Amino acid sequence: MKKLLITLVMLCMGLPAFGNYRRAKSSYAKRNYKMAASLYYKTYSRTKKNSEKRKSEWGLAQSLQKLGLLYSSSKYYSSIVRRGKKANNPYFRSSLEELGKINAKLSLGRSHITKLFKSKVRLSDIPGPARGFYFYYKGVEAFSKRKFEKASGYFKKVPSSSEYYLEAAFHLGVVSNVSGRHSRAVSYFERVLSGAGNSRKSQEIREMSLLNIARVHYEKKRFAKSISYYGQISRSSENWLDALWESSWAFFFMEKYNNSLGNIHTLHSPFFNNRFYPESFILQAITYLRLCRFKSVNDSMGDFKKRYSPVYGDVKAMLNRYRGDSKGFYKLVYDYKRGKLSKYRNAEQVIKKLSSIDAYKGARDTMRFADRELDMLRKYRSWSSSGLLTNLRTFLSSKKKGAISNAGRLMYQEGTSYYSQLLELSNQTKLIVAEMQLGKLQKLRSLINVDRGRKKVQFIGGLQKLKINETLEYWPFEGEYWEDELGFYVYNLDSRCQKPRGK
Amino acid sequence: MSNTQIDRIKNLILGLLIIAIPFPVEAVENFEDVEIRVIRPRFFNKTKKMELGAEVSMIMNETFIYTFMATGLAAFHFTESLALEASFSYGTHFNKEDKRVLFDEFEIKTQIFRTQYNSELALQWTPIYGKWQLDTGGLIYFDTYLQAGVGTTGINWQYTDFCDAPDFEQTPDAEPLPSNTVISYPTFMFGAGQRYFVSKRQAYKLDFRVHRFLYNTLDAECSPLQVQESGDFASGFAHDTITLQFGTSYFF
Repeated sequence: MKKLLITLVMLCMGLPAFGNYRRAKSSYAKRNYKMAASLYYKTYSRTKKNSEKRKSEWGLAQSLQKLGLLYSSSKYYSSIVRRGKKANNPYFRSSLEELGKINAKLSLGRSHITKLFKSKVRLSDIPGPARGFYFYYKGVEAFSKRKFEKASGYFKKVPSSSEYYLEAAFHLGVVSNVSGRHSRAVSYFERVLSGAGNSRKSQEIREMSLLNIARVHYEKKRFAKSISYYGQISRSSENWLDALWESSWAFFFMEKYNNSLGNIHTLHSPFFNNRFYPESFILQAITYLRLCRFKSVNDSMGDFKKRYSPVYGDVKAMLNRYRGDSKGFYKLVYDYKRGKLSKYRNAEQVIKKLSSIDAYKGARDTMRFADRELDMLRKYRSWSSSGLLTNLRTFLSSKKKGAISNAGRLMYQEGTSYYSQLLELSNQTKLIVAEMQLGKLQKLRSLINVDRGRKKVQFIGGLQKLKINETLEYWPFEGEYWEDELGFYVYNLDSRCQKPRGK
Repeated sequence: MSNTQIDRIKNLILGLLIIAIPFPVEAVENFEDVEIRVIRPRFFNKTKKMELGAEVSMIMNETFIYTFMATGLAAFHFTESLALEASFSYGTHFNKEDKRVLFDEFEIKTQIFRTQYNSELALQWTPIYGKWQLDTGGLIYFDTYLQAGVGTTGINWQYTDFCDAPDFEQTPDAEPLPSNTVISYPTFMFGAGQRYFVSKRQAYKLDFRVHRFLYNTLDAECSPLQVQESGDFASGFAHDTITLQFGTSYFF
């Protein structure tokens, strides 16, 4: 009798939840996703029945997705996927597939995704459309832990039809390069180049591939080839200055000093006053040194000091202030991007550079998407009675917080490395000046081992090889910078070094 | 032809020659004495390219008529600075209000050179290539050329413009008015213009030209036979027209 009573009580307790589930299903079928989400949530949070809980969780995620609340739906899909493939987790495969689709539309964030795949999953458990998503991020996780062979294995499993394929191929290129397999690396990057379309995302990966191919050739001392890849980066690209800067080194090693100095001239133009290329002054100085233009060496060192002493001071103060305060550091960079930087103005070059790293961009996207959904949630006040509204708001806020904290930490680490770089470069300038004053020029110059064998190729401005019969235009630089001329400067300086006797 | 006219023609030919001889400008153009240069492929290459274009021309120095002409041109660019251009213009005229007022109120008729057509072959020299920067930061490349050449100008003589019809009742042996006709005259032309390159193939053109044609003054007489008998005429009398032309051209 007692048992019967208990059963009845239990049934009565379960009834409202069961009723909610049926109503939720019916609302979903009628495409009333707003109502369905609320009812699914009620069931999900109250029911004691495992199967009903799972079904409600899935229904809730689906309803939220239908309402365009992608981040919010990812919360429930993720929770399903994190449990792994089990008999009592029937929506694992479907949820994984949906997460892949959502991530392709708006980035869920690397840390979010890598947490999904903690449990071991068999290949057969991964649905075909989600394989790219799964293996790519497994690869990324292994790559970030520097387990390159393991990473390579995952990246290779990304199907060629997947939207993650190009990124996987790009990573395979990087892994191959790191492992010293340069030709294979180039072939992977070339694969990315041939597969990249015209979208903004494709453009970015295409440029990164060009840069990487250029770097591989540079590393292998194929400088002319390296420059030809650097030269394919469009002038309007964010990567253009990097390409110009890196190619300056290639020119230097080819003894194309006038081209090298020309590129540096662009980097030092007032258009790029807020760009962080401190090493360019060192390269400029050693290039002048190769040309035995000692006054210019001193000038370069003086310019470096003039430009970077204040930067150094502010970067130091900034790093001291924000040690352990990743949120504050993110806000500083964010304020800079909004044009509201009120302190550490001399560190602007460094802050600008930090604002272009992936961690910041990722966090910015997360903030944007989360804010958009928080804004959308205003239309769903009726969900507050079920607790769904609070639940989603908390999730989105914590997602924002997590993104800020993560990006702030990574940017701070990056900022610290820039600071160390400045410190090191400052020491190098002292060394160059001291060596020069001590008259050890020959020794210093011999340290810079340039490649004398590749002088035949002639380059004009803009990283382009001189083509026979091509009509060129010449403009003199007379102190006035024209935007269209940036990147096309070539110096016209002879070496003042005395030729060794007897030659 | 009077000595003065011959001297004028000599001076004109000499002027054309001076303009047409290219100066050794390459070294200057390359700025070889400048410490920092921009060196890059030229935005617009004309060498060994054909230019075909269309323009609207207006004669600017006719006091009593408006003359508008449609001009077609074809040029071949031997180098960036040297080209040969053939052009043909065909026009239409409208009387200005001044002409009517002058006749209606003062019964004054005026001699009018109505240019019907004009065809010329000219040598073009382009010494200037440059760029303008707009407020927006955009750039417009242009070149400036000088040109000189020869051709023919067809003048439409409408004798009623400036001749009174003879009164045959009072003077039965009066010379009848010549019939309206178009007569061609040898023409010398010089001018200057600019091309504004709006793409790698297309340019807008603006130029002005001075056309000097040598006409027989008898052609402008109301009683040519009478004047011919008197011997008071000149066969190579100069008349200048100044045209302003706008248009576009394509390079192939």
